[in-house]
Amino acid sequence: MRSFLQPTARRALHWLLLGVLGSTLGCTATIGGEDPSGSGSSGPPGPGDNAGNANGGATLVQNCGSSAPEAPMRRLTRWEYNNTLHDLLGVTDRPADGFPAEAAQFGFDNNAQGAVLSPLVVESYESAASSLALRVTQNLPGLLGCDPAVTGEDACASSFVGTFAKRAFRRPLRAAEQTRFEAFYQTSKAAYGFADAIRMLVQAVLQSPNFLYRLEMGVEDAALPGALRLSSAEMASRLSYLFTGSMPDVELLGAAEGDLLSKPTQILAQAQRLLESEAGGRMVKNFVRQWAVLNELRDLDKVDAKFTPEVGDLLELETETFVDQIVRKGDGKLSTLMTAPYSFMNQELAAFYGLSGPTSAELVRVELDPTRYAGILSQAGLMANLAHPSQPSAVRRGKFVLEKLLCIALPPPPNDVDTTLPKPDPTATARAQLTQKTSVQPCLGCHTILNPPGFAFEHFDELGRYRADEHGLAIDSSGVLTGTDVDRPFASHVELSSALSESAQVRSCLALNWFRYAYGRDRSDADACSLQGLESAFTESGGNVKSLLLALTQTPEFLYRNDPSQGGAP
Amino acid sequence: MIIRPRLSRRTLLRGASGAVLGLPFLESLLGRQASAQAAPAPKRLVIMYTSNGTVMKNWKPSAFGPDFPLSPILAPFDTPVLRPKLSVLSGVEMASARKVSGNGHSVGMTNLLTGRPFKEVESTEFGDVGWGGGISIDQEIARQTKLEGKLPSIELGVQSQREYRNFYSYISYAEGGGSESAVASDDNPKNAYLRLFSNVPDSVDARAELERAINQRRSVIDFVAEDFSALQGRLGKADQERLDQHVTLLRDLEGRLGIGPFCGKPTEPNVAEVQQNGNFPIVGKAQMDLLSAAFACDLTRVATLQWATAQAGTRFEDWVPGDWSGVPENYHHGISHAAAPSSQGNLSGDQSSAMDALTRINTWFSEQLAYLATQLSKIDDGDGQTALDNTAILWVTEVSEGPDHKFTNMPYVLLGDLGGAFKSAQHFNLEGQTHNNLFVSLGRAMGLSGFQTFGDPEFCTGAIDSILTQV
Repeated sequence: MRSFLQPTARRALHWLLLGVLGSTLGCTATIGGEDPSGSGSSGPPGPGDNAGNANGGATLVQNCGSSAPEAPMRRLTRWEYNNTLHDLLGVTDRPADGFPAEAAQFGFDNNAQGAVLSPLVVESYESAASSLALRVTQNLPGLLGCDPAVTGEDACASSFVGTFAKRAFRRPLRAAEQTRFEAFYQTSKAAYGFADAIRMLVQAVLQSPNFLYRLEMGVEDAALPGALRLSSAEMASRLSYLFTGSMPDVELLGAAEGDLLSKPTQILAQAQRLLESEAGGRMVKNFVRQWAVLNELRDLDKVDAKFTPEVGDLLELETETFVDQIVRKGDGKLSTLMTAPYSFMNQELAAFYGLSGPTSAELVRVELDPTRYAGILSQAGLMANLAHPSQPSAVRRGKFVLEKLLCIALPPPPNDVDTTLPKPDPTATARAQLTQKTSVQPCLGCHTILNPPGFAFEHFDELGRYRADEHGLAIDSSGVLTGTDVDRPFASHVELSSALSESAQVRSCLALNWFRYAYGRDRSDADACSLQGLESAFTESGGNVKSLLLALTQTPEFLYRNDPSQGGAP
Repeated sequence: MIIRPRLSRRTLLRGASGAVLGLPFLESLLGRQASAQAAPAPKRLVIMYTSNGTVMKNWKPSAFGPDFPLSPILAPFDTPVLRPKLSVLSGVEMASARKVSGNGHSVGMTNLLTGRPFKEVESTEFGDVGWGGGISIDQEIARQTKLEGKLPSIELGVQSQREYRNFYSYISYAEGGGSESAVASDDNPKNAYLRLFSNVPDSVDARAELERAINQRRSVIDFVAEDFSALQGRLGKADQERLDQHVTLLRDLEGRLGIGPFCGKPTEPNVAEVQQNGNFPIVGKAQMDLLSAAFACDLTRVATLQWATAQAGTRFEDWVPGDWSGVPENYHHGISHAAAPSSQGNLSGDQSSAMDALTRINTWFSEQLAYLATQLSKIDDGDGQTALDNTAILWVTEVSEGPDHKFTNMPYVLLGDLGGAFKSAQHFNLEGQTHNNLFVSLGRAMGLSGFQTFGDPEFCTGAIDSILTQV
């Protein structure tokens, strides 16, 4: 692997960053974490009670000295397409919901390899473009930004091409492109008239590779032999799609045009701004929805009629709101996410939980019994999803904790093993039955690790509601956590959540998940240093998720890329 | 470009009474071909997928050859129209599944229509699983038989994207296989309807405007394809290939965007909440009706109908009759595991109960297939033939029997002899044959006389002579 930063360049970059930040030497440098007076970063002070974290406590990961990071080509996901259509054309009805689904990898729909390309996908883009164009050209002067009757049709069309395509392609058009589009307009107008020609222009833009793909050609930089810097326009797209799931906003586009997105500090400042905006909230919720597998709780199949699609939607909303409130408007800490004895409910949701307090359809903070509820893992959306139609599932819950929080991947059961659930027995708890069943080999090996974190949640029924007992029988949710850096006995999910919130392994796992979400690919050996840096940033900020998110923009993986036209790497 | 409808072969929908159902007879307007020169009979292939295997002892007929007795699961095919079209293929092995081990349902699902071991093996949160190893037979046949102005194929789903959106969800793959080439089945009948029928005019008057819109769209696609070519700058090899693939698909789309034939255009289906378990039957019926209409209008000739995913969790008790009170588990996958292999004696009460439930579930699926085939038998294909006469429907599943996860003795049902290409109405003993060979036979029956091999060549020796009338 080539080192893409020569010693002199490395030092120059080092001083460039540290000159502003005034912190320690080495692989990582902390901004603000140890310096309450602020580190001099150009970002605005962060909200909330982050004393000493003037800009959200982002930690720099610099100079990991490996070969130029791979950056696979990204195509807009359905979620991103919908958001972009909204920002570009004011479309609110989410046309991409009907497109073929991405093939989610590692739980995320924005993985580059998951962007399935099939005839149906291309057809979907085409038919969406066709019907959208028809819709948005109903009010031509509004769309064009000029009145063809006043300025003349051709002049108006020409200016429309420049501005509309620029926003849609997230960069100014090259002269040759402008010419091509104008020529297309002319032939279309000759055949079909002005209005149809504009419609056809819109259709063409919405199917262009420049719209559907985030193309990154990069810019050569003498300080980065073998790697490329992103152009400011390309960096604007990376920033906006990571932090808002949509196209760059006016301010970001302006920064791009002024070439003000070439330095890590500039990038950090914009990242902070975006994360703190409402659109940043949308992104956090999107991550949670996928990581916690909350997509479409409304379709969960439950025997108890109380679990309606509306309840499912509300439970999804509850957990998304909870995470977003804490990350962006609260202390941002993982420990809070894991242990907070409160949540956000409206009247209907509270009624579902058997609680009182909220009196309207609006979600408000509800204090919860801390002996029963602790953080995200106690929420009914998660628990209901990790259950069967008529009983909870300790196996699914244990697996979730291991895989999603600790990044421990267990193998599936051996092919010839009978994995059916024991039939519900009124005289025995499900825990007793499952323990007995899995107490023999070949089951015991994995279930020794799998069962305890699953049994911790036995107090939550198949709809995710707290229950004091199991049809009259006492519930034992105690266990011992093993195979982690925070192994200890626990009395229930409350203590388990608390233990996990302190775990370096959990922080590492969360960092890896965010890595995958942000960069659209899995880690490789070349990313080891950056991941370590991200974990350090996370830890040194006291487990502040915001710090982790901002640190994602300060890695070589985000700031640079390999030169795709060289060698075999994509 | 105007696509001339195949009115030389009248495609009319006839109800049970023989009356034509609401179809404007427009031959004179559109210039019918000289009926003296009949167009060749269409050849159609449908692959129907259901999950979790069968109950072999209640599926496999007790004798081979013609006039075989129907098993309980196959009883719904006992009608004068369907019985002569029913063949059962026993003993076929999904041999390519031997090559890699892993989660049984993932292995089964990915080998199912590809005849190759899976690829992109991941050992992450799902353990050892993978994606289809290459193109699936439906896509391959679609590719080779596609006709101008028609969709090469249509992939219809019933809750195929509900529980999973990963390798358990896909049966079809485009060239190359892998996660990038997975072809999703569409779970919303409305989407498939729009795909099939938006270019079919509602009336003569609507035709001109529709034609204009289509010409504009083709012009746009042509321009966009050039936009791809005009991309300048550094692009990696893999990325360039993806973009090239995108252009190819665009050009394909341009080629088949054309005004559709006048035919019995059905009303737009409107099934709400397509992913709710309780709507499983009505979504299935809507998809089957759409498929029939698509064949009647000759909008495509290759189709898949995917009922749920591998290891599906569908619950059937609300619409499949019988006693569900004693059944262990109440969802499809669970029931299939609570059952025992058919060879096992001394069943426990639970195992008996589960096998009975699974038998009823599979019988219900037989009823669905019987419905589809019966609808096709009402479509006049001209020359005294029905659409069913010119179709073959292959019913597949990803494991032989649920608890075993074995890939020997895969249960295949073949309904329809594809214009006489297949020998009809027999229970064939195909032990020693692989499903690769079965797929080569499908290709031959679809008129691809040069079709020699499919999938992993290690498991393919060629077409199965004993089931074809011509080799």
